[in-house]
Amino acid sequence: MRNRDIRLIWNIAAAIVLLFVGPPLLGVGGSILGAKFASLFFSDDASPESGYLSLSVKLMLENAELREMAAKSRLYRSMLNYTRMPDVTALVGRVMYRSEGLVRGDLIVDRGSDHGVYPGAVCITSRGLAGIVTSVDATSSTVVPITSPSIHVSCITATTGSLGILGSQSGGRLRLEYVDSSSKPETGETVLTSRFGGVYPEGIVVGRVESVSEGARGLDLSLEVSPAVDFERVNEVLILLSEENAQ
Amino acid sequence: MRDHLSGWLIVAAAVVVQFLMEVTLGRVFVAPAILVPVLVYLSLLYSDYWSIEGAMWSGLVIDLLLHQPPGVSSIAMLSGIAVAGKLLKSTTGVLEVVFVFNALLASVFTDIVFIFLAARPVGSGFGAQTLLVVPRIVFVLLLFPGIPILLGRKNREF
Repeated sequence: MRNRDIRLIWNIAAAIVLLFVGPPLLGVGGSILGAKFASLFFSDDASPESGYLSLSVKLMLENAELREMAAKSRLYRSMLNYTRMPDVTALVGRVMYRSEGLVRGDLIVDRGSDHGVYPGAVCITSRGLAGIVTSVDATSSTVVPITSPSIHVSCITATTGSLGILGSQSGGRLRLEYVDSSSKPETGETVLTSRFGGVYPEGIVVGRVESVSEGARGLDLSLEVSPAVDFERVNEVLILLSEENAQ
Repeated sequence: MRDHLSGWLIVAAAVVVQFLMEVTLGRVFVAPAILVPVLVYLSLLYSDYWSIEGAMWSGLVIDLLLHQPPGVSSIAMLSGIAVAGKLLKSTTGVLEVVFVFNALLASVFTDIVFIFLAARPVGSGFGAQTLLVVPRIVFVLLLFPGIPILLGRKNREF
């Protein structure tokens, strides 16, 4: 065999060996070299620089946590403003899921009779009236939203004081009916719960007047109302519990 | 020694050009093949050192630069140039003709071996796109006949 052929075979053999051991060799060698290179800049002892770095990371994480807590706190504070009424306590419930329903579906929250929840308890969010508890299990309860056809709420407009009964219509819209035509309600007015009816506490925001039209019989007015609560995005509700019912 | 130094400079330049073309134009099937014809040319003109050691080390460098499995290009070029040399052993003629045939055959074999070894799983890389190796080889060979003239070796015969 000629010298050229021997060299050729040796080189091909070396390349084949490289093909098999090359990737792990490169991986290990690269890691070692990379670590050596990194150690030139970041020493593993407790130098002031590394202490500063770890402190920065720790503070950054703490900051993120505090920001989240502040956001929660703002939410709860705005929700709790509604509960400044005698004989009412509030309980925060997390919406676990929504059941399939006629209009928007019922909200299932993670608070039940074990927590003092009872059927008929009113639920609100930071934006306004959400619905009413209709059935209660030990650890969960069903909240029917005000967009459900079975719910009717006695309401009043904030500026002109037009009274009416709020019910739902198709598409999740609300309609305030039986409004006295002499009260002259206006579009854009805020709709609140009224002191009549006895179920809902007075003054809870329900929505905003979108349009005013004549009622079906022509003797009264009918107001289209857009709900204040976005029921697609409700994550938490505040369940209002009156002390006498809770006992 | 002086020949080796200038030869390695040429090979290094070819590796850099090949690397730059492959990262800008695309791998195997798009960038023109430069390195194999250069090695064939050097081996024909000087010694088979360039078709063996030259192919081995330049292949390894280009594999590392292009993040290919190390050794694939070396095996492909070593075997490609060797097979072309064996098949065209009895060819005689002026340098340009011998070079063109050798480089063409060596490039084709190199690409075939490379595609076979570099694909994962091994051997799965062949398809219609393999035909693209032909224009990439022909393209560069159109430029190469001018090089011996530039280097003043046009009258050398084999």
